[in-house]
Amino acid sequence: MKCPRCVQKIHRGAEACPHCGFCLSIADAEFGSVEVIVRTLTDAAGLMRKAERSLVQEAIERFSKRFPQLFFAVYTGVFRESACLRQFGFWLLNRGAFEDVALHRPNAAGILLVMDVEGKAAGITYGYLLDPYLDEDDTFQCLSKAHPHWLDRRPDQGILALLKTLEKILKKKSRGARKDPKSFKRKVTPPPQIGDLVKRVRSGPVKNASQKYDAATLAVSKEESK
Amino acid sequence: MSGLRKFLCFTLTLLALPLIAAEEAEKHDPLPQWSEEDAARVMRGECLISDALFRLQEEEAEPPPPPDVLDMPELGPESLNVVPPTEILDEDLAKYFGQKPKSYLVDPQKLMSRQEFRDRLSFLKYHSSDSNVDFYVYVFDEQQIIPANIQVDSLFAQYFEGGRPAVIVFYYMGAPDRSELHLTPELMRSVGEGERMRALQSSINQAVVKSQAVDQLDGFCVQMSIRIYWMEKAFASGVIAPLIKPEKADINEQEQAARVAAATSWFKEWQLPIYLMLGVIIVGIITGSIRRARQKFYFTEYEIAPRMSGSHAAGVGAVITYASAKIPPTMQREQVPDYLRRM
Repeated sequence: MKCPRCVQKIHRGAEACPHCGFCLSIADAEFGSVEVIVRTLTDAAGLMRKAERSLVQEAIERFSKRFPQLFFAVYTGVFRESACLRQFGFWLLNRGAFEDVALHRPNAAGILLVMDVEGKAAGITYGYLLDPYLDEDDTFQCLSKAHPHWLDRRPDQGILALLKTLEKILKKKSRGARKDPKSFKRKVTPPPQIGDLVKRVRSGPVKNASQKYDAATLAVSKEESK
Repeated sequence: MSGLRKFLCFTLTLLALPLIAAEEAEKHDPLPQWSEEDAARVMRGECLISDALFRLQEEEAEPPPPPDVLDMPELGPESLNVVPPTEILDEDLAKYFGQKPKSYLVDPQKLMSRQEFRDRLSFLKYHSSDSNVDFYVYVFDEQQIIPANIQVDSLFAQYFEGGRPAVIVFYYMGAPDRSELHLTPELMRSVGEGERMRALQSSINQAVVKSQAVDQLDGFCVQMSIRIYWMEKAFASGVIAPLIKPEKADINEQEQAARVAAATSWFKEWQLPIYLMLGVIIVGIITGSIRRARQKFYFTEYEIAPRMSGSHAAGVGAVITYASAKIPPTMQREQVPDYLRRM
């Protein structure tokens, strides 16, 4: 987990970045504090033709059907700095209202691709639901697949390639989560408080399998906290 | 004085002795008398004295033929029981062609000495041990002719059937250019006519440079052995399909027809289950592919504490620039913190 501004690692549940102090209110000050209504494909920069847009829209719909909890959105615009894509993505996914997305798919289940037409840069931001399943390397892999198409000035093909790779990764993660949910749970479980640990130690030895699992989780969490 | 007289008498006697001997020799063997014409030829250099003397001696040395030998009547071949040089005795023909040769060198007429036979046979044995194609040599005399009624090829096809491929040479002692080359049928189909002729001709060429008949046979055999090596290569490469006799082909066709009929009847009997199975498999494949295409993927939702006051998202992924086609994507991965850029 990294800060959208300073790209430094931050711990779970941090109210603001301990390194640079970045939080949503700072992004609000930059981009606006009111909610904005957008669609899953918002080509604000006018990057794609109509046919290309429909291609991308179809691909987005297919993605939504394949992953009923998730949605994918694309925003193209012009930004002053390419590096501010992360902040904008973070802000849009928190403040945006995607009007063509069903209500049962909250923004926490969204994956947003932001493209800076002027700076020729693109970045991915994703909601909390995908925290255990996606990381920076996965998103970079998706962007790498789109990279040659974008160099050829074919943004639609780049987005399609990106979506294809993203689907592959998510399928793999979904299967993995079904087989071994603990490994994913461990990524997002908050570290136990010291009081809990003392309570567990006093409660005596582990008696059944579930308690064994809890003990193992505690041990892992302890190592992580160290 | 008497001593001097004796000495003089003795000396005169010694001087008179050659004269007495010459007179006696003239009486028994008179010296040749030169005619004036011969003397003139000798003087002109047209006649040598020695030639005349030796011719005279030769004429004298030649004995007159005995009258009984000259008068003897000339005997015909029948009277001496001599076989004509072109003919081969029936008993030998039987040994040549009556059976499959037991030895690589066939010489029932004993045209070679025992030692010569052993030497050539050892070479042929060595060849056959080293090669997949056997080499047989039938030795005939220089002028002998094999009767036309003997069907050599059919005989060999019969004798060598099912065995190793073989090269059979009819070699005529002292006349290597008359040699004949025969091959077993399967080898015949692998080796072309031109190759056979070249092999025979080169072997003959190697033979004719020798003067002795057995040496010619040696040269012939060595060269033919070399050429057989190439025939063996052609045979091993399977240039031609294996031999199928017409009778066997007919049998195979019948068997094949029977098999096809059996298979057809079997298929008719099991037609419905086969089609059903195929249908089930195809439907299964199509259903599976459709199912996979429609498969939906779900994720377990965990309670995650919000970060940086973001109620929905704080997952920051990668940022990539696509400004340059010369730099790979990894080099264009954006990692610089925003606040550093802004400053």
